[in-house]
Amino acid sequence: MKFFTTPFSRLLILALFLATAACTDSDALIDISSESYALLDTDSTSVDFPSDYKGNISLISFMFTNCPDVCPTITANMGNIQRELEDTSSIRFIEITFDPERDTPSVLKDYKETYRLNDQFSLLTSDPKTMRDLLTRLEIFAEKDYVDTIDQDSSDYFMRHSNTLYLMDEQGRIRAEYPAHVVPPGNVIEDIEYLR
Amino acid sequence: MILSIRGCTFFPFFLLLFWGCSSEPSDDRKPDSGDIELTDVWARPGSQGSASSVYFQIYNGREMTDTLREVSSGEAGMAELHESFEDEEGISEMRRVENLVINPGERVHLQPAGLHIMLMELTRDLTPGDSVEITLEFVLQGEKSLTVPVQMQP
Repeated sequence: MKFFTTPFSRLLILALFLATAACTDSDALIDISSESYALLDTDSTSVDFPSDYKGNISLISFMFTNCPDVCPTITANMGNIQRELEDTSSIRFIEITFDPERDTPSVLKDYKETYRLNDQFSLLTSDPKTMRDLLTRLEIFAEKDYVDTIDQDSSDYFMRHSNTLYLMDEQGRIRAEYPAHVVPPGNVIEDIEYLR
Repeated sequence: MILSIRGCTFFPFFLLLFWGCSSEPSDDRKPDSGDIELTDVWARPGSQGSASSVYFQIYNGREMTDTLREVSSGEAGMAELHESFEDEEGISEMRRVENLVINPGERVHLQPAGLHIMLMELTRDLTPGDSVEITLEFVLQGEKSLTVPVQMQP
């Protein structure tokens, strides 16, 4: 018992505590494992995010369906990662819309069919407030960019947005971040294998 | 004698100067085909009412600078030349490009996440295997019509 009262032992215990804390907290870029966001899938079924994806490794990107260039490029890169993975079991591909007002479940369903995405892909939307809260928590920027700059109520807009791909571990913690449309699939696959 | 020595001294310099001028075009070929060439043409799928993008390479085989100044399609409510770019904070944005200047012998790439023809308000679904008609208007070349195959991103 005397060991635990010496200055050296106290220092050792503090160092061990800090090292343990560093190993757990610093592994996650963003930890949403204990949070819950009510989202909707393409068939309008409720999704509890991220809980419903726990036990899987998930790739998460962000898009809107009226985006003609960059977002389909991100979707194509997600598809490339899926194709290049030798084993896709327990891997989920999630695309979350920046634009919940226009991207209803049925619109996302059309997009999913147009780009021939299989059932490993979830395209998720929600009510605008929930989506805003989630995007803010995930440090994703999205802002409407009106075609007619005077008519701010118009539904005719594009979006300025982050270009981010996240890797989420089986506990629901964001572990890696990539530039979504240009990251080489091999880099992401290497990190997926590390998490497995 | 002095002149000839100077001539010998400067000859390689002038040779390099002119060689440098002839290699200025970004393409290996000299601009001698006398035409605007469009290759690797394709369009993204898109559903009726939404948007699609068209991509290709433009090679200016003319000996004069040409400019792409107008695009149109009977299968879209609006067609414009756009450019996707990232600002200094990495935020993706898009801007309209009014005129695309192509120098003699230059090859310009319209490609994903860069320059592209944006088709808005599609009048019908575009699915892989379909094609879509577009027309490009160049200042010198005039109009060029294209049948663009719809396909998934390669």
